[in-house]
Amino acid sequence: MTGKAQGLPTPSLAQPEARFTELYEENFDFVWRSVRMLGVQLEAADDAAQDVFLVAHRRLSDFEGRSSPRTWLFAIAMRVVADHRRSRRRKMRLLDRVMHSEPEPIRTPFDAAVGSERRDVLMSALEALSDEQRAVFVLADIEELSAPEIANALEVNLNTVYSRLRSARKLMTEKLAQLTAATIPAEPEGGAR
Amino acid sequence: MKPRDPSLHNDDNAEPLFSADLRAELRRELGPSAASRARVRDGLWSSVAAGALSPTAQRVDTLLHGQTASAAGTAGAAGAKAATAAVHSLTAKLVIASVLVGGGATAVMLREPAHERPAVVAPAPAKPVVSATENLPEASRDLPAQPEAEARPAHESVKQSAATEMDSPAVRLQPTASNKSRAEAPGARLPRLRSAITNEPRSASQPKRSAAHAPRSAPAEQPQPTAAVESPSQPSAPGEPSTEDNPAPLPLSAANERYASAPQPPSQEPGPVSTPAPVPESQPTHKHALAAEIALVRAASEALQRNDPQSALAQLQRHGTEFPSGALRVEAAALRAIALCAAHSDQAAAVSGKFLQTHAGSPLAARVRRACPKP
Repeated sequence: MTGKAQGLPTPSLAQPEARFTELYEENFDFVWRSVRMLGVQLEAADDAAQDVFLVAHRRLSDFEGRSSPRTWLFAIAMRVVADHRRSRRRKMRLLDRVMHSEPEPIRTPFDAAVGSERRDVLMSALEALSDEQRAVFVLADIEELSAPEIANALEVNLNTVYSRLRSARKLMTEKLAQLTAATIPAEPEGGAR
Repeated sequence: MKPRDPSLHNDDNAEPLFSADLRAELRRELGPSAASRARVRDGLWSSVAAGALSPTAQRVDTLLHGQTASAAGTAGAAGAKAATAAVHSLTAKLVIASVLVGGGATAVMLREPAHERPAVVAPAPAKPVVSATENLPEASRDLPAQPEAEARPAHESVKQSAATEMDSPAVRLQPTASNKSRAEAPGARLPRLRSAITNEPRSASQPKRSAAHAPRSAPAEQPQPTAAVESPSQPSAPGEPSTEDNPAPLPLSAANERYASAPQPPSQEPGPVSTPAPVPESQPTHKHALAAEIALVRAASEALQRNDPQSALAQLQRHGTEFPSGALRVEAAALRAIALCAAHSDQAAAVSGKFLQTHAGSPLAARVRRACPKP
């Protein structure tokens, strides 16, 4: 085999730990955002993101580059989020607390000042979607993955992706209009006044 | 920044709801803070080093493992079918034979414990978890294959997760990002949620379950000592080594700072070393150094799970020598204390006491206390 230039594994591929480190560095933000948008509360997002990478570390040998790292990590994230939600519900019951009753803490003054309102509106609107719709919407309209990639990540066919995406957009449009109308003082009709 | 952007109100459901610019802004706004990055990175490397999984990660890993196994099983069955069909074709005999061998091997691997598997290199689905041990010398790699490829029934995994949640020491050993952050930053928000999981007191009689706990990716079955390999943070194993020495300035992330402890003399008392740890030749890059560090700590953790504190101490000694300021020095110190206690060393009380004094707030303190009960 000729191999040198083409065939030999790169040093990074030859070292699982180094490969994992790369995977982590390149996708941490994506994973963290994903778990948040899939419904994990802010205070639990770090743990959820960590769980995703722990599983990824264990399963790295299963990955083998058959799909893109993002779709693979997202698939893991969905399962982690589902588990987190179950755990949260269980604990909330134990604590006699109501889900979502806890206001999310403000992360930093910067966050509070910039974009937090829009972010909060978006997060609230996402609550209106089903888990399936939410996953498709997040991947398509926030993370900009292509429909085939989404189909791969969610293990559904392409038509399902499109139909979920359409219904998600419809719901999001309605919900966003509703939320922004509630939070933004309506502009005086007809302009002035 | 009112969400009055027209792109938020796009009525055409066939088009993206947000403009490209807005999508980019949203990704930025929805991203993690620097503190989150540091926290997760810190917790993640510790967990990876110890092979510990949180209950959630454990359940998801088990779930994915089941899917992988069944997918492999399906592939094996398909291969066998194709082979059967081709049996009637004389010209295809050779091909068939090879397919059968491949499919059969896969099926076998799904059922048999790793250590009983034939040394087939074929389409085995069972590549054990990626592990830092690959960087280790042979001694550390000689462990029996792990049963990770075995498909576990759903009920088993459920059972296991429940048990894990209650007592998995591994889970406790490696604090999650938030746990750690809580430990260091008192004000850090974090949740009772995680603490409820992680701080759960374990039952005193854990030793027996250690095998069961040792959660590898598949906690459900781990009869062998090998299983321990993946679940570094052993269960309630009575003893795990730790070392308080090796204080060092920290390296990896700011988050590690909290663990910085007063400098101490290099650890002594490596006990007989049955398994010399491999030395990462060079520590060229940060990544490689970290990987090597993880490998050493993990090897020590695995040795403890095998009830081999001397090997663990050797690995930890090596870690102390090679990475005096390593990112995992606190974890190594805790493991050393536990190992010394497990080995009934004369230094056990002093080292564990020192660790508990220096790292009283560490999530690892509880584990050291369990392993080194006061006389």
